[in-house]
Amino acid sequence: MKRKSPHSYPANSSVARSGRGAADGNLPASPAVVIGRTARRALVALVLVLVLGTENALAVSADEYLFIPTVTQGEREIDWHFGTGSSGEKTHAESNTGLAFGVGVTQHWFTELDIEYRKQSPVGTRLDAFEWENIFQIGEPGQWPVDIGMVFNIEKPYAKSWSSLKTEGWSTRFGPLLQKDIGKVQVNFNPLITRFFQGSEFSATQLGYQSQIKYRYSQPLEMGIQVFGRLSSSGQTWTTYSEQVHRVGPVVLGRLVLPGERSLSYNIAFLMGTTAHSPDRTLRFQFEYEF
Amino acid sequence: MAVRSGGMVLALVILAMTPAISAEPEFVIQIKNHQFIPAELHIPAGVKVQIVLDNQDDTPEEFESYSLNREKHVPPKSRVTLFIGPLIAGRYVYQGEDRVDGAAALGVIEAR
Repeated sequence: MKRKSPHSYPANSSVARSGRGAADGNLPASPAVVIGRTARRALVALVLVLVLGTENALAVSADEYLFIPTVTQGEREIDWHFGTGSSGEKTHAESNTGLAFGVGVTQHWFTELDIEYRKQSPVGTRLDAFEWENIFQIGEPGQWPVDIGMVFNIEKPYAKSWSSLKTEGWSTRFGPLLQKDIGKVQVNFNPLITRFFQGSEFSATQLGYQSQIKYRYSQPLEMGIQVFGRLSSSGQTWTTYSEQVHRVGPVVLGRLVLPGERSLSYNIAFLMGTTAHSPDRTLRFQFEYEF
Repeated sequence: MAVRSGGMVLALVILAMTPAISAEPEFVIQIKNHQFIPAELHIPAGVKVQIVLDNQDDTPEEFESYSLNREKHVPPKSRVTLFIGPLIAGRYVYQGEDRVDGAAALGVIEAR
């Protein structure tokens, strides 16, 4: 899946290390050195304000994609997803990318392992997290008025040392996946809950949602609208609308069938933020090679 | 909260493993020697139906149809149930798994 976790920059991150390094020097206290040290501290403080200040607003993952409640047994897929979000009124530009390998283990269970990278100015690109995604198909498509599934993900943020677990806790994300077909129109809605563990500085429970309405024009070309949102802030499970994140925009998607029981699915969305804490614009690609 | 959430997840997982039970009209498509039998199945339009795929082969098969919006793996020597419709009148093509020689079993469901 791809949401993202509101990881903060841990105490041993490059940013924090810069801060400690500036204070540790055992230099003679000449005026030039004092000025230089002060300037370095000011620079470090500025970087910390820029980075950690926006982190308090809770980052959103630019490469978040929609979960689907159907599973195909025996299907294996390599999934690459990439998203880049521009800065917003209270957000900084950020890009996310992930590479995953998934398998439909049974008629009702799909599982996937994912490695995530994140790029944020001025920190740069870094390994962000490891994730284990599980989709459970409940019943059969068409059996009930609404197709139902369940997602259960576990994420372990990447940490360079165990000491960072205080701020980089494990998290789970779960919730029902709902889908309804109305002729050639398909509607999805996924209310999702994220729970943080091991001393995360964020509110222990975060609420979010995903939704899509698409027209199944043809297998290689479908089109629709996607919406992604988060209703929580760093300190509150349900925050005011202006502090929530909502992104909406068009999506084109499709599946190209290849010889030998293989296929390539794509999914390209352009999302616009509707609140101050949302990225103004997000461009997201997702490609899945199924074999 | 965590316990309740875990219970909900467990309940849904158990539900996912529960065989489908329903009262819709049932039709059977056999899979034998990599062919769908019958190759053309007639079902009533405007009615939701169950289709049982009965794979009698020793190899897995697949039921795939974009127009029906269904894709299902059928393990060897096993039966799998699909729910389809209500469909508007028309012909809906589906196919089986691609084989090494490039051939795939083809079938049609006609709603009328």
